[in-house]
Amino acid sequence: MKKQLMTILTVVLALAMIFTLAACEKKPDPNGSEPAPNKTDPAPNKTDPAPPSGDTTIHVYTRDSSSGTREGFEAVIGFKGELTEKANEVSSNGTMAQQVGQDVNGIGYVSLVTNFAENNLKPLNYEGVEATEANVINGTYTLKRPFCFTTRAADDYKSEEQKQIVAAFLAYMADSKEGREVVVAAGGITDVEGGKPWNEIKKDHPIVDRDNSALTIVCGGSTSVEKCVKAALESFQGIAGNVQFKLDQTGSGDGWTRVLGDEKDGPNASDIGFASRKFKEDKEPVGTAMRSEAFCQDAIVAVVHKDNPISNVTKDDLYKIFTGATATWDDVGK
Amino acid sequence: MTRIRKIKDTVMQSLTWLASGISAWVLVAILVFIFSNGWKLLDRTVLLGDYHARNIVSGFDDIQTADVVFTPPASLGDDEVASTRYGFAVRDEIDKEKNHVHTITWVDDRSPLRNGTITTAGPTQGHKAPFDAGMNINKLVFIDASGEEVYVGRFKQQTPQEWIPLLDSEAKQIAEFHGKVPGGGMRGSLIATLMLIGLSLFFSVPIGIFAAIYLYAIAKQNRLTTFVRSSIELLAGVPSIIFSMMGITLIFPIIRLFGLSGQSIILGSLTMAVLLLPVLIRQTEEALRSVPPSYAQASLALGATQTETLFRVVLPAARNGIFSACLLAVSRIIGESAALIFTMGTAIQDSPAVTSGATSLAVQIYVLMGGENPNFELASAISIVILILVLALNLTVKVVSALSDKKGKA
Amino acid sequence: METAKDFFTSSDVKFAAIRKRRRRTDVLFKSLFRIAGIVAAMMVILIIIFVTSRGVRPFLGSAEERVDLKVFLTGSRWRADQGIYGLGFVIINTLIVSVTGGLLALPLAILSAVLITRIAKGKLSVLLTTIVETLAAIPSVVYGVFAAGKITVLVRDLGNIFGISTYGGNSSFAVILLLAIMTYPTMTTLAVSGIRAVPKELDFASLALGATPTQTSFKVIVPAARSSIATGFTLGLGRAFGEATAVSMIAGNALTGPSWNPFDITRTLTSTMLTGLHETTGLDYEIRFSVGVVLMIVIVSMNLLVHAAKRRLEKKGSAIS
Repeated sequence: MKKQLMTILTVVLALAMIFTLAACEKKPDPNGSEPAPNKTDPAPNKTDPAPPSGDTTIHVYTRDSSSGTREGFEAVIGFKGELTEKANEVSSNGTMAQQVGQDVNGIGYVSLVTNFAENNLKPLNYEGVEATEANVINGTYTLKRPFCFTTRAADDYKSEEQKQIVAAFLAYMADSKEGREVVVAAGGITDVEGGKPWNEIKKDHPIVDRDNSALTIVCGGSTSVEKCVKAALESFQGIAGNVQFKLDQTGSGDGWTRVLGDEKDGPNASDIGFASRKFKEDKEPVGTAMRSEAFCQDAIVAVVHKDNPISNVTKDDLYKIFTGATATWDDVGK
Repeated sequence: MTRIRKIKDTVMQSLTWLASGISAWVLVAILVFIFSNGWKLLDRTVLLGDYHARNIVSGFDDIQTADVVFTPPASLGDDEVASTRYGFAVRDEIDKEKNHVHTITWVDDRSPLRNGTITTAGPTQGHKAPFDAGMNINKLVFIDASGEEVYVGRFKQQTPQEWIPLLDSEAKQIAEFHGKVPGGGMRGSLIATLMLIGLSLFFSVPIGIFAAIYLYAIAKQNRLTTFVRSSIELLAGVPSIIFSMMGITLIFPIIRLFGLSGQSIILGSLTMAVLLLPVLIRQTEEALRSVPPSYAQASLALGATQTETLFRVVLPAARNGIFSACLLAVSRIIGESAALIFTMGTAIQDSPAVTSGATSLAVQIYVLMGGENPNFELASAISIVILILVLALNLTVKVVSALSDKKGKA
Repeated sequence: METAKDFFTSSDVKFAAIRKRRRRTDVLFKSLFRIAGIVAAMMVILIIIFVTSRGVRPFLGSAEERVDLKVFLTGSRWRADQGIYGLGFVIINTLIVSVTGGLLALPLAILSAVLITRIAKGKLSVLLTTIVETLAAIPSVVYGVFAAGKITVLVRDLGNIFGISTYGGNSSFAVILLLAIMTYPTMTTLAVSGIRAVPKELDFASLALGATPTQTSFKVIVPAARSSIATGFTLGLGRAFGEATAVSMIAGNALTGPSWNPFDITRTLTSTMLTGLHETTGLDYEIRFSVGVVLMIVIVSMNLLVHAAKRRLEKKGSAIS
């Protein structure tokens, strides 16, 4: 008897657990019940907890050391090598965005192309200036860095066609009005009107009028450029005989290495290497490249959780926060 | 039985129920989480669609922009903007990769934009270009009254509310349409996973079965056998991330001799082949051992050679067990991620080739979770597929072993 | 199995001519089987040799690029940006999270095994076994998605209750919970088979002496199955140490440590190997192989330790019986 009773009791208990769980699942998790795609006002990814009362310890998030975003950020703020020991290291801008968006006391930095609302983030004004394309172009927003590319040496391509299609793509992305438009739409910052019409540029690149579906443009390097480059490549496919592409973006450190450095014939050999900073002249000589230049600019934006009341930071604030001199949000700006 | 004894027993028993209850709860929590996040997204386009968007550029020869006025269906929402002269509606929304896109939500059958032809060089050039609901419009080029080309659309940073009225009022003739069929699918990874399964088994199964036969039929009780056995045991305990490193340091130089460079499905499958050996050997040996010795004795007594006995009698008798071993291996391949991240790379491919890198389903999840825009929904959708495959395989193994048990008893 | 052994050793003089040709195939296949066996056995040695030879490179390079082995093994800071690679705290962190996770799962595994084998009957037992098997079959990357979306949120909310602010729930505690879940099925499966293998006589004897069934289960049967349970624990720990993708999604990567606060971010050997995995040359890349070597050493020594403990247990056991 007793055993039976207990069996029933446990089953009821288990069921109750499952139901509470199912109920929990429906209520606070907007992610689960309503998929984001069909909404103009995207649902936040996670439930937002009330900030723990009293504890306002700043949680610093940083990218790993191969990141161009990190290099750009540290260079502008000027704390290279002085990063606080308490930082949490993440390996992509996306993870950074996602994790800071889950942490009311977090602060990190991402590229302007990041979708802030979607990740529960609040972009901070830097020195009182909002991070917008206009402010980057007019020079008032100074927390920025260039997106650069470099290529294999002109005589180092698999084939002549490969070289021509790479040259055509770079001309499209960097020089043409149409290409720049796409880069801008994907969040890069560059002067669209200064570009030449593609119809003119196209004359120098007859390869685009052939069926290029057997060719693959391989890109490597910075992860920050991925969104812009992918958009450019996608729109290029349609006007360049359906050329294929492969984006293996890993970090600015690999941009030069994979096209000109010691990995150029290795497993990760690429045609175009990107960096979200200038190539370092001493360590990354790009002199032999077919073409090498900055194609747009990007703002780095300090981000916090959307419930954080702060809205503006100065260079000094960021320096203190990222070196650990300021430890709590209450002390920011003091 | 004393009272205290009874209470103690009840407490212990309830603890066992509690422990199992927790495990059941965790399982349900995992399933609920994965399904609630991914199920809505999981449709044909996700399952069989490309991960990368397909771009369409189409041109229009002579377009009748004359006097037709299309009436949009009443069901259009407030956020959808309709072009009454060209018969379509778009909405500004966020796609699976969390980018802003202008998605076509309605196209009238007679819409002149349906008459475009693909201008991209290649075999499809000149074919009819698609213009359907679900596609994204990036840019439209039209010619206005003064004969100037005008660009409108998302690439010009315009909202549909801005550019559609412009199109309706200014356009005299449509010149070009730039759009895309959205991606976010898993077909490429699915194919890559299948290739990986095929190749891994191709490399691994013969060695695994032969090694099992060695242990079962040839190996004597000596040092060498002990060494072989304990080595294989040890191999089973090596974490998969170490196999990944082995792929780079040991196998990569070997396949480079054959002219293969870079991360590739071959490199991944050779790595997996090594990883699978312990599973295959152990299961196959067990299957061989379960074959009654009388079978072999009878065959040998009838004059068959040892090889014949092995291949015609013992292996066929153990086929269910060996089949189960292969299925378990397949399920391991489907779920594996760490061993493949370094060997097959993290670039998602739509048409994977064995000699170049690609992602398996599991690695695609890893990439999606760590990518520029972490994508829980798509990761969960792929997780559902993986879960279903893996659980189905495990179920098949159970059924197979139940069947052979029955047969054995009979 | 004596017949199996006789396969290739039986001889017959009749039909010598045919036999000879046939025996040649026998010999051929025999050597093929042997080669396969030896190749399979060699793999683990090749892995050790190749990964180690790559892993020692950072300690042998030119002076400015060289990593100090002592700092590497005992250091408490992992600062790739400053060229400091101290793995000591990472090893400790890994041990903490894996062993705690394993210890958390062990009692649950034993209790579930008792329920499956000795209390639940028929369909219920099958259902419980299926649950355990399903948990075992779920790939680690799926656990990762679950952990990143659910366990971290749970840990974060828990932290909030205690007024501790967490890094969005990424913490040692989250990793411990994840590893407990992931090691539980292995341990349970082994415990179940161990308990099933206990001779019925022990059971009867205990019952005959007047012990209740529950008493028998916990005082007689479970101790008798301790060898299997210990094996399960070792296997589970092995999985915990080597688990990479799921753990790296929720560990957070601390730059210093060890930290004894379970709500603080941590760094494990495997998460170190996967961060900045994108780098493919230079010291940051090479050092990953060194971390791999350390991981192998940790796993092997843990195995030896548990083996030694098991042997002592067995000795004690045989002394009793």
